[in-house]
Amino acid sequence: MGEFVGVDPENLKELTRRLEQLHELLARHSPLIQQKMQKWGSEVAVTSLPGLIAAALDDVRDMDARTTRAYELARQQGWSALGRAPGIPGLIYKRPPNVRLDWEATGQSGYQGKRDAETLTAALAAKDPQDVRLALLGLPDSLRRHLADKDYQAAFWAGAGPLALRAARALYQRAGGALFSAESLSVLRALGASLAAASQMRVGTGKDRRPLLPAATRATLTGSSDPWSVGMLVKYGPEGRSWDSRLLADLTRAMLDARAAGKTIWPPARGKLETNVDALRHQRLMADYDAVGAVLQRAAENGMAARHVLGDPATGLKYARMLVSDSWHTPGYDPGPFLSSYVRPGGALPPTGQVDLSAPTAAFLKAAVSAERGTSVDAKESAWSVVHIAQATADFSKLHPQTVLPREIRHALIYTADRYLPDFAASASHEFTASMAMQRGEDAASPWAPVVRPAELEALFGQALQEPKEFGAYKGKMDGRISVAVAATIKDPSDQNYLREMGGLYGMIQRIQGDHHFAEEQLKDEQATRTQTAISIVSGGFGALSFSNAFGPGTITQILVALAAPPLNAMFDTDFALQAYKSNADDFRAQVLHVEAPVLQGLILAGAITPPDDASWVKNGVVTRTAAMADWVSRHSDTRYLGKTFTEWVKEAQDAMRLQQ
Amino acid sequence: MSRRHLAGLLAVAVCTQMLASCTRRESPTSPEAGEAERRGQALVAVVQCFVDHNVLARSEAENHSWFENGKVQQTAALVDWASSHAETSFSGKTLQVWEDEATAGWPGWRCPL
Repeated sequence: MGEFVGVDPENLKELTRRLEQLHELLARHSPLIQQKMQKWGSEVAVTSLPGLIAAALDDVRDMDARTTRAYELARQQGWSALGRAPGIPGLIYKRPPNVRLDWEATGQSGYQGKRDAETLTAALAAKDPQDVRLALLGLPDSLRRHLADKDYQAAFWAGAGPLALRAARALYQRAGGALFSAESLSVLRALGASLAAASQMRVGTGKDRRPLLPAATRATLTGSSDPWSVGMLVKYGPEGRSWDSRLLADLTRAMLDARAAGKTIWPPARGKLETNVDALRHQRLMADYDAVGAVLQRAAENGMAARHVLGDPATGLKYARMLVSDSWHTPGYDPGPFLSSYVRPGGALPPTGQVDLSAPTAAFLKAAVSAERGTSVDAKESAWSVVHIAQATADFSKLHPQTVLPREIRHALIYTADRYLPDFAASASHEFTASMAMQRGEDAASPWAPVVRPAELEALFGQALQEPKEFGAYKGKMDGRISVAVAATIKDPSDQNYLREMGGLYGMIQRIQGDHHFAEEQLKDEQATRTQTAISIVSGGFGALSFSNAFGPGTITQILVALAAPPLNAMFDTDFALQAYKSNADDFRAQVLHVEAPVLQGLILAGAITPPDDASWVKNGVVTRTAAMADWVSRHSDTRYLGKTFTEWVKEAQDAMRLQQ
Repeated sequence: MSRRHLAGLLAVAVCTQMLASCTRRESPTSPEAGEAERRGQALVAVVQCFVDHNVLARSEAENHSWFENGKVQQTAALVDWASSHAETSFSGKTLQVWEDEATAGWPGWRCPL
């Protein structure tokens, strides 16, 4: 503080402009400069160039802040850009006077942030959207320039927070095709990017470390009376991983609460809806500018944000209930007014023209259960999310026994069931008081796992699986895991029997399928999908489970990961398997689904069988079913491997998957 | 026609009859779903039986949240414990076998120790 110097604001402005040009030029050409220098074997050290360029940007920011301050001081001294001069008619431009400026003062860019917040405040106060847009022309550039500038960000959001959140409502166009003009989009994008960047900034060190945005500012974000506008900042802001997960989680909760409370979450209607086409177009507009969906989408991209919301033991269930629902569509409209009076029936008509919006909801549910397995807090939140989603599904089915959830949401449930297959299998056979997430064996070194009541699992599978092919795919995934289940039963340091547990889960799924009473033709579909799925997993390599550190602390986590089937689309990439299946269906099916091969594979995986060096039926640890394999198996059917004969292992696998041969 | 084939046909006929009389699913009352209910209760009785007769040391049981004031609680932690001890031998039989027997005889099963 305290180094006052006299400056000419006009010259300072020119200096800033040239500095900025210089920085841009350097930044643009820096890769080429470095490349050429290296190519020519230059002795000049170019490695520090990127650092220097970054420093130049800081200088531009500082100079920009000083320029703004210089003009401000000039105005305080009574200067006005346009004035009258004696002897000259009309207004003329007047140079600002020299001012004295504190050159080194800290918080210069903070000052710029404050000024920009004031500009925004003044601009948004204008009634006419055209005036708003003009007043905000320079804002996006300034916001972008200060994206990494903590002083600026703190000052801007402290000053502009509540208003910036309402920008979308002030900026939208009252007529025309697009809801926002190109300039308005630029403002919304810049505000979104700035908010995302500010959300990730931290100040202080050690114990004192805290978010740059103070609690009060964050509260205005989440407590906004205009959730739709907030949603638009998030929609036009950057991808989910560029946001702070806590802020996105808070915003998600706020949006879901607002939606539940019936607040304005939809874009404003433009004009009166006079025809059926108008009404349909408005439904489309609502879908295109869906604020809740935008926030859910960003939180899903972020991943951890979704897990913060659904993985909270106290509040996660409440939000899971809102998400696992058939209400994810635009409200639709009453077609009555648009019908000819001759055909209009009496009474209210059911709403029509609803547009499905369940995709972001489904993406959010998937993200909520997608943490890497293990002992981390993230894994804990993921496990709790699974528990809450299962409970919410059971609640939904209880309230609406005849309603099937939208396809996207059902697929999120299938994804969850894939990912937590071994966990679901472990709790499918015993009823108990309350589902919860816990570390297996109540041991802090064990991975987090959801332990879900059978009644809730039934509800989850009852909703998730509806079509014969879906049943087939899920059973096929279980078939494809036989070898892993065999290996896991042996390798798991506890006395857990994965095969038997999968058998219990299989029974539950078979029972649910039975209730559907599929016709003969549909059952063929189911069987074909089951076989294809199993083949694509099996031929994709049994080796998904590698017990590199078989008895280390990570064994159970490895087992849980390996037993969880890969996502459906990844599985069906194995075109080769499907081709093989089609070309030689019966033969191939007999080969692959013959349970001896996967059991043998599992025993090899677990190290219980070491194939002879000259065995032709195993290549790189992968079993292929040949006559030589069959011969080897028949000669070893009564040999005991870890307490059971080979035949007993096969019998157990057959029982588990009802794969009678 | 072999006898086995005949039995199969009979089974199919009975199933078809049952299916026809069955309407929309009512999960908690179906006999198989009731199995999870019975198995859950049987597990509590079996583990209580182990503790009461010192087949499972009381001090070991007290290490777990499912054991409170001398009583085995039917909680998630108990199901998790049972999962990791399915093949553990207690008094000559695995937990799995104990549980299967108790479930088959439920609710009349009594601790035989």
